[in-house]
Amino acid sequence: MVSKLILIVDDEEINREMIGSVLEDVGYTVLKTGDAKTAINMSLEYRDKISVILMDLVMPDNDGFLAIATIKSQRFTKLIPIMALTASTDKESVIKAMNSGADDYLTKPFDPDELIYRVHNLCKISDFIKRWDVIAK
Amino acid sequence: MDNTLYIEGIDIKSALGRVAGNEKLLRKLLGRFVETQIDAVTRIKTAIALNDLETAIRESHTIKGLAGNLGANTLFHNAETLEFLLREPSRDHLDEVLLTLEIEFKQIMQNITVSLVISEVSPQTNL
Repeated sequence: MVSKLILIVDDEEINREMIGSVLEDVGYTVLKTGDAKTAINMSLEYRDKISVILMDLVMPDNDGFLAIATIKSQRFTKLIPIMALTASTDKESVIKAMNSGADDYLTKPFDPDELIYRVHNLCKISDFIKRWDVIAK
Repeated sequence: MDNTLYIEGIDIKSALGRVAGNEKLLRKLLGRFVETQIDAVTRIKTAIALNDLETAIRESHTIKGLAGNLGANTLFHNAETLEFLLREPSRDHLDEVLLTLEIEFKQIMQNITVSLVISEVSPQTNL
């Protein structure tokens, strides 16, 4: 069975490595980038392969909220599930992320089991969307 | 799970959980934390002095996220308190909060550095 592909977007290498190691340990393949602009490009390039995007929200150049909104506005990427994975715990950030189009929200420090289960769930949604998309065509 | 690593101020068990039990990776990332964040508090102080609150908040937020994931729980809470205070219009007790963060930050950096150096010199040693 082909391993599912997860795109991890976080401006800090340490976070990318930690999140990636947990997901790879349970069989996922990961792509990583520290830049929201690159993440938007990668979401287009790998649009048929990415199952879930994990997006940090607070990043220097192009923030995560804007990246989520951009990916969700693009015809070929808008159905990719996105989970905000962030150290922002305030209600306002949660609402803003959801309004931007995030499908789920997980805070740092992340619980590895919770991360895995949430990614599993979003992958199930992603699979359903892809199958439905094929049927609908 | 290999539990030979011990660093005062770091919850190694929870940190190892976030690297799938890979102690070698955790050591590498702790080293990267020291390398990349060693000037973080200085950057925060400079930003505050220049009234660049956006940078100060972002730097505090970064320390918070990294400290949390690496199991530096007290440092996480210190950074969270600072970030919250920087977002408030009246920043009462800012100096005190910043000092508390700085003290914990320096201690954690020192503890990590000492631990990593010792483990390089004698890899089988339990601290």
